[in-house]
Amino acid sequence: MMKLKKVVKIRILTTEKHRRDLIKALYSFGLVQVVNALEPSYDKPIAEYEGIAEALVYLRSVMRKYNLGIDPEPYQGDVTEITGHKEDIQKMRTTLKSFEEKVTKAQESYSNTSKPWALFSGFELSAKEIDAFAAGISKPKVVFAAFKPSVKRGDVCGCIASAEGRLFDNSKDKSDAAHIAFVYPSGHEQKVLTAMEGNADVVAGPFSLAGKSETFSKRLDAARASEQHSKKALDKVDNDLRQHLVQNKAHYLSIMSKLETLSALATLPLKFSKAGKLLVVEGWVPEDLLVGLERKVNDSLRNVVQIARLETADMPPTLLNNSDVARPFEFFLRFFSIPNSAELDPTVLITFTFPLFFGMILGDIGYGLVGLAMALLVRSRLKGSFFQDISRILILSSISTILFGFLFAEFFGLEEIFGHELHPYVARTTTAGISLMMGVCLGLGALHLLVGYVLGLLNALHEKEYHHAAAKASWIMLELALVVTFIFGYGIVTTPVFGVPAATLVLASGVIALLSLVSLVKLEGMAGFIEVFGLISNIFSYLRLIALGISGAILAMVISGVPVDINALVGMVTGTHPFDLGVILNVLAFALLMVVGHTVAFVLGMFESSIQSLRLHYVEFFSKFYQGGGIDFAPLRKPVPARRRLQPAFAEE
Amino acid sequence: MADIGLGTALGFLSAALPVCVGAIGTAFAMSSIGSAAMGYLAEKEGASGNVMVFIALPETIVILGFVLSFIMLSGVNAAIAGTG
Repeated sequence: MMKLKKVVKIRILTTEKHRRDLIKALYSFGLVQVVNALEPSYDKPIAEYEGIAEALVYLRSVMRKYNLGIDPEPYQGDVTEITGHKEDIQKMRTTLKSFEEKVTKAQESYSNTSKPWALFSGFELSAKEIDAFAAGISKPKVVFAAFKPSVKRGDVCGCIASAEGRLFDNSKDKSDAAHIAFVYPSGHEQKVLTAMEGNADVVAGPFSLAGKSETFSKRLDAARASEQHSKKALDKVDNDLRQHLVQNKAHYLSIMSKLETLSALATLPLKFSKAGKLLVVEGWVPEDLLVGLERKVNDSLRNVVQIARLETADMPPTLLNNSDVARPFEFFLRFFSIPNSAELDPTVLITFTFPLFFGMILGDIGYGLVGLAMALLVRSRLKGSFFQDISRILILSSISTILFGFLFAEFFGLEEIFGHELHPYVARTTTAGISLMMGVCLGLGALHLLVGYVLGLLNALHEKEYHHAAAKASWIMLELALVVTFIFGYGIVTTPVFGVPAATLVLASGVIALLSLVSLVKLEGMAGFIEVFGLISNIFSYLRLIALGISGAILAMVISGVPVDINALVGMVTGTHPFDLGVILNVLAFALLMVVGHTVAFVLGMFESSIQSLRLHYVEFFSKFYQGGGIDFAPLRKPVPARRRLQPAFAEE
Repeated sequence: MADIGLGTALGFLSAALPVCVGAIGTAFAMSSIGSAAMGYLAEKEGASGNVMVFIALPETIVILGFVLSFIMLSGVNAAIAGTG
């Protein structure tokens, strides 16, 4: 149940001409991880790779540009060649290209119109002045220019007289498209250029300002209108493309997923090594599927292949092996570090203890129901595997919260559900309830840590580290002895057990504790002795289950305890009570406080319950046995959970 | 409001101190660890689980403070009940 799936290393030998068939067979089989073969010369990607990579990069860039996600769910279909998907990809490229051409055209048009607008708009404030000056000269023209770096204004001004025009300077303007608008009479182009030489470079122009329709103001208005029109056109085509992508998001993500699989397969030969015309492929496969892989590859390659199991000292990748119920909780292990191939997988225990701790902290029927509704909503609306896993974790945690809510008789902090009184089995906000729950938490903590030590012992025995195993056994004995001493010494139980009086049990457990301590010091040195205080601190750490629970319960109680005169409101509606604005405001404030207050309390409760439950696992529980540091098994196709499987398991294909 | 007397008041105040001082101490510890942890995460992506362990470590101080506070509070309540 807690054992990892055993994975073995294999070497496949075949000829170069069977390369494509081998890739096809391996992908079709699925649960095999190909690794770099340790040989001198490596193979090349298959020929279609460039086309696949190009299409993938193109689609990724388009989807990324419009923020539509570029991490599709892994493709699970039987796609081993570009053939059959070429049409899809070609159609995708044609459609998107046609949109892109429109966008490019609109961008060009916008660029053409935005340049004149940038020039003219820089002199918007001087437009009337320019028009007035232009009206006084013959066939006026305007040229836009930019100062050369480190030019002296005096030099430029000195040129004005010689060119018989007027310089308008917008250097202080934010626009840096042009710094000067030089207005002059027609026929003075040469003089203008001479005047500017060494001082400024012409940016655009000259533009005629002669006639009523060509005044600077008119040109400014025309440039503005043109820029706005092309901007609108660009926005429209850009929006059309976005709409198209949004509407067909699933389709494009599916193509992307296929392309990613194809790309991975096309580059797979980079891990193969070549010896003459012979291909050498190495990888990992679950031990129980080795025979199936041999059959599959032999069938596909018409027996021109040899598969050998390799004895290796390499650390195998980790292949977790949990049921559908426990699988979502693998998320917590991955968040920390997955187990290495030599140790036990604690996921199944976390499946039980995480919701238990979560429920003990939050423990409220109302919050549990809200959590359950949220989980079901996420489950039905969001299809990604991450959301599906989170929703399953939340469902179990919410059910536990509801059950503890009944135990503590709490419904949004009240001891009643819409007028029906609840009777607490444990009133956790009273002194007696707190004392009881503190005892329960300490007991639970001791048990949880004991399980951790037992797992540590099993891991050590499995790895044949007997010294380490003896130390773990000493810890188990020490913890049990301390617990017995505490229970009988503190007077929690005073009656004899199997005829043995409490005093004798205290004495015996004290002796066992002492012997275990001596054994620990011998096996682990002084560090072992010091760690005893760590163990006691770890057990006390489980008191957070009740400490945080009380704070959450009191917060909910305070929110729900805000007074409201509902009867007066009902009386106003039925006419038995005079109209009173104060009552209405009181009810509205109450409703607002209920919603906002309980939302805050719920979010805080969910956050605290999750974080603290995780902490108890990561810090207290894992420190007793868990090493982690495993490398995830990365098969060519990931197994699909039975509940989501649309086709037969690929290993049985 | 009932007159609780200076001794009882000091008793309640003392009962509040362990959890209060524990929380302040934890906050200081977590702020230092938290900033260091963020720096570490920026360097090494994917170590969030391990980092969380270090951030969560000082919290136990508050829990131990809570235990002391509860024991002291029970003592004060017992004293009040005993004196009638």
